[in-house]
Amino acid sequence: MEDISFDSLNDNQKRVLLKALDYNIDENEVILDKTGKPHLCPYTKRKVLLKNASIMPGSVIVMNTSSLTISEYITDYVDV
Amino acid sequence: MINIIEFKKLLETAGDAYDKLKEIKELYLSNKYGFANDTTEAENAKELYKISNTALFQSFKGCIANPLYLSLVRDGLRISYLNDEGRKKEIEKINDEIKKKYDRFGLRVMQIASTGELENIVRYLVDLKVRKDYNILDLTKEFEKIVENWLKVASFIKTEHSKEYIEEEITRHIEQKDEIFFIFAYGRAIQATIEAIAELNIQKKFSGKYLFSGERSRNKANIEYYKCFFESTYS
Repeated sequence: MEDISFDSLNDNQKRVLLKALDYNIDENEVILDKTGKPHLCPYTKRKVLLKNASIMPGSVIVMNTSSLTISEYITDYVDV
Repeated sequence: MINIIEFKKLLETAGDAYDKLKEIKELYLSNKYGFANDTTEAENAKELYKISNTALFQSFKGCIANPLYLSLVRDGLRISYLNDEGRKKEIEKINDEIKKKYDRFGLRVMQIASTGELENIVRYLVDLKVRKDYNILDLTKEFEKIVENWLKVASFIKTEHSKEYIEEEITRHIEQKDEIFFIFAYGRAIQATIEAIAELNIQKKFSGKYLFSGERSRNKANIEYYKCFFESTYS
C-alpha cells in the first residue's frame, strides 16, 4: 500500500487548499463545487461544511469526516 | 516534492493569486498527504491506514470480495484498539454511524472484528480455501454465514452465569454441530468459564470433535478477558 501521511489544517489553510482545488465556500461555510452548487460528500451524500471537511491525499476528493467515511475512502482508492 | 510542513506553510502565505493556487494544486496532487478536519480525525485516519497494512487485514482482504466488509472490518479493528484504550465516546460515534448507514448486519460485521476474533475467522476461511478449494466468492459467503449466525455462534458469558450454565451453553454448540463457535468472558466471568471448559475437556465432550484455542489477557483499560474459539474437525 502507498505511504500516506495525514494532518489537519486550520480554517485559513483549508480555504486556500479548497480554492486551489476549484472549490468555493459560501457564507454559511458550505463547500461549493466549481458550478456554485453545494458539493455533496461522495460517502454521506450530504453537503460538506468547512469545519467537517477532509481533503483526501493526492486527489480532489472532499468529504465529511468520520471513521467510516475514511475507511470507505481507503477501500475505494488506496487499498486496491 | 515538498513535505507536509512546508506545504502547510505555503498554504498560510499563499493568498489567492492564480499562479500560487495553481502551484498549490499541482503540489498537492503530486504528493501523498491528506488533511482531516481536526487532529483527532487525522490521527484516526493514520491508524486506519496502518490497519490496512497489517498482515491480518491483508489476509482478510484476500478472502473477501465485498468491499463494504473491508471498510466495516477496518473500522471494527480500529474499535478494538479504542476499546483497549477505554475510549468509549469515539466507539459510540462509530457504532451509531454504522448502524444508521448499514443497519444491524453492517454493525455486526464491524463488531465481529472489534471482538478481536478476526484472526480466528481468517484462519478458518484460509483453511476452507485450502481444504475445500473455495474461491473468494465462496469464502465471502462463508463470512456472511458467520455474520448472520453470529448471535448463535458467539456466547458472551456474564458474571451471573454459573459453571453449569456455561457447560450447557458449550454443549449446546457441540450438539448443534456448529462448525465454529466463540466464547467470550470478561472479569469475574472468566473463572467459571475456565472451569466449565476444563470440566468438558475431562469429560471428552469436545476432544476429537473440535480444535480449541483460548486466550486470556488484559486490555489497556485493565479489563481482563478470556476468549475461546472452537472449530469443528468434521467440517
